[in-house]
Amino acid sequence: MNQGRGAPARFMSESSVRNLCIMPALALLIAFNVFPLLASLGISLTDFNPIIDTAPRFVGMGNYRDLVESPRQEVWRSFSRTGFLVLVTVGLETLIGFAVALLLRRSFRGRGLFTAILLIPMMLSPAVMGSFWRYLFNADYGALNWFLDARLNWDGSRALAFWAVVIAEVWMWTPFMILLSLAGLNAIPETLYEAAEVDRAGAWFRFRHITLPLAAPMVLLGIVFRAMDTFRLFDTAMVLNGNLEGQHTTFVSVLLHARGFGGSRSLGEPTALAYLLLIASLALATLVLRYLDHVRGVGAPERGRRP
Amino acid sequence: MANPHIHSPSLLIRTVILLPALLSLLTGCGSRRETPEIKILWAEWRPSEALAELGRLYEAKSGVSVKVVKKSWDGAFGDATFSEFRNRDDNYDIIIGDSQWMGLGVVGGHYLELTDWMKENVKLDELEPAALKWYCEYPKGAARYYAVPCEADAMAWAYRKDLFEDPGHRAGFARYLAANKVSPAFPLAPPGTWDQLRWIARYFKQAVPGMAGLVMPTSRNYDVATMSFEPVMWSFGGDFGDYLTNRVTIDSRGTVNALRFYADLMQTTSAGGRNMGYGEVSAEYIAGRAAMACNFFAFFPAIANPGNNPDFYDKTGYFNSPSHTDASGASLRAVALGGQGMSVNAHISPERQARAKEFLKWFLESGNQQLWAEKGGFSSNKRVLASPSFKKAAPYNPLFEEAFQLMRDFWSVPEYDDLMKSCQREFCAVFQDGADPVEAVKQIQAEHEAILRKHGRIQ
Repeated sequence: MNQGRGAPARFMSESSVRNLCIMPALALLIAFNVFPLLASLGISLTDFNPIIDTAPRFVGMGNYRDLVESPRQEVWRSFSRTGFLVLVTVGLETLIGFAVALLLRRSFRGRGLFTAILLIPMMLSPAVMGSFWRYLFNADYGALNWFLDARLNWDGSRALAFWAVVIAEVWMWTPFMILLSLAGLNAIPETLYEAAEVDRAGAWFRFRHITLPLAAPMVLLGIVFRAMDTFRLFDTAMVLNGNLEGQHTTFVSVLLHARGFGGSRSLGEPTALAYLLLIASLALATLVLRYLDHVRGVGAPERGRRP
Repeated sequence: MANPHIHSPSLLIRTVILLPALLSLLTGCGSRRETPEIKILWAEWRPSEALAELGRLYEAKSGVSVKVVKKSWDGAFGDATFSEFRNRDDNYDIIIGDSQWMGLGVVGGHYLELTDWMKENVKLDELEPAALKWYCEYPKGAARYYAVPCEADAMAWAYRKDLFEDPGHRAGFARYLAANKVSPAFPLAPPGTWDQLRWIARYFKQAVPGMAGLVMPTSRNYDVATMSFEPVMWSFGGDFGDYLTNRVTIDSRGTVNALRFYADLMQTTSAGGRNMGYGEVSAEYIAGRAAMACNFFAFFPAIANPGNNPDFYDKTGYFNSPSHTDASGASLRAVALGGQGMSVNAHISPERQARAKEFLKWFLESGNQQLWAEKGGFSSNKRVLASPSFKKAAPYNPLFEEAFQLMRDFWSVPEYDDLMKSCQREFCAVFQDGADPVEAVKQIQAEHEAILRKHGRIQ
């Protein structure tokens, strides 16, 4: 039977309808993403300063060169400082978070309430949390110095200012790692431990060969999220120590804010810095995605295996 | 009599016709003449309240309302001003910008030039020359004016009179000087030299447990540490450079010695004293945890106010920055300038510019400057500063006339922010983290030259 006969002629082909539907989204994407991206690339190649009413002058890679050669290598230092912060902060959050999750996995009275209380810091706004910590860190009347019975200059010494940010971040985001670790630990079938016990496997063996590998995918996911989040850290550092250049808390996002909104500077240099940050973020995101794919590939058969 | 053949319009049509008229009556649109208004952009602090009060007097006299829009010092004031500049907006008729922003306002074409207008409408000889130079002129020494003086300000010191006048401390201080073989000895009184100030601060730090010898604005934020270092630097013979030729001269023996001295002063401050903002300095002093506090005059009303400072408001004395005598016997003394000038927005209509200038003229009249001072503002009018009523109005007022003669300021070129960031970073590295003063000063010299060269200010 010829089904095509008698069917009404189509006004538009299927592909045309599909293209028409895509077009509004495409137009929005071009207007709000592609165009600003290209425009800012253009600005990064000029000395455009909207406050000083002069025509933008093309300076080629001058802004990028100035960033690379910035006084005291501030730009590179801010990148390495941010990397170090990611390592230290996420490392501590993972260690503490996983350890607490192991304790919380055991059943005891009031476990639910205890877990809920532990999650509170994560639910606070970073700006509010930063303000609290600012008072706690105050060298003259802060509770931390009182508790330690010390006169540590948390905000006056640049080195201590870095560790103040680490402490505040670890306090705030360890609950996140507890949560993910707990989810990973609770997903491990109890039968595995029972089988191990039958085989007289020791505690360390059970931890090394059952708990760690099976909880790892979830913990790694948490590490990835936290690493990306810490890489763009701004709010806590800003509240604790301001948007200052040349400090031990001048992370990449802080430096970008200081240069972009710091008063008299041209827009060219901060835009060039934003591009460097974009390239670094894309590289990090690609690495992370590849790693996640790898973990998924490794984890899938592990999870599918039955004792 | 109405024509019976003509139907009256339906209720819907009548509503459509009458509703806009009714709404315009209710909202006043179209029927009420708007009162002319002058909008002023300034920071949120006590002097802007005083200006708003003066504005109400001006409205009563002229029928032109004056609205002072106050933005927080914590970034919003700068953001609002720079947004106005960037967008060439006409939101404000008058901008009371920081003295360091003068170059941005002038070179960017945002401030109206007032040179000729001031010569015709303002009694220039009534104004302190320092005020004209630092608040109104750009570039310095060019005799071209873009603002009139508004809130004058300078850095000075508050000290605990009760401690200084205590016989036990006087005797203890004499013993302390003798033990440290300080010659010639000097009494426990407001110091005449920076060296004396350091000995007094050292004494109180060790003699009174929990008390700092001094607190100063030392924060890494914006310009704070640089402002409090400036008087020391200038007194020791250091300088930023020549503001007319833009030649940078900060790399000098004077600056290095001043930086060493300043770092040594920090040994006498509190644990948190190496990173303190202006407000925190006052709070620390009011809490009774410091024998001396350096701050801008604008912060002194809070110290002298019994409501704010019930314990020490009447036990506080004030002195201007001390001097320093170098090896050749030359004595130098300077104070850091604060405060702002009042500029007319160049992007508003000529009619609004004329209205704004009328207000400036009224504001500068001697009688109104007297009122300004009475309401807590700091005037630049010589007669007001010399008047007994001003000197008696507050315990720190008698110092202000002298402070005017010692005032100096930071760069005001459009690149001031880059220059300031370099100073803040290097100065703080020395007294907060023990960096080498020689290297710090060399670094600033190189950076300042590079910045000014890049923007064509020097060859």
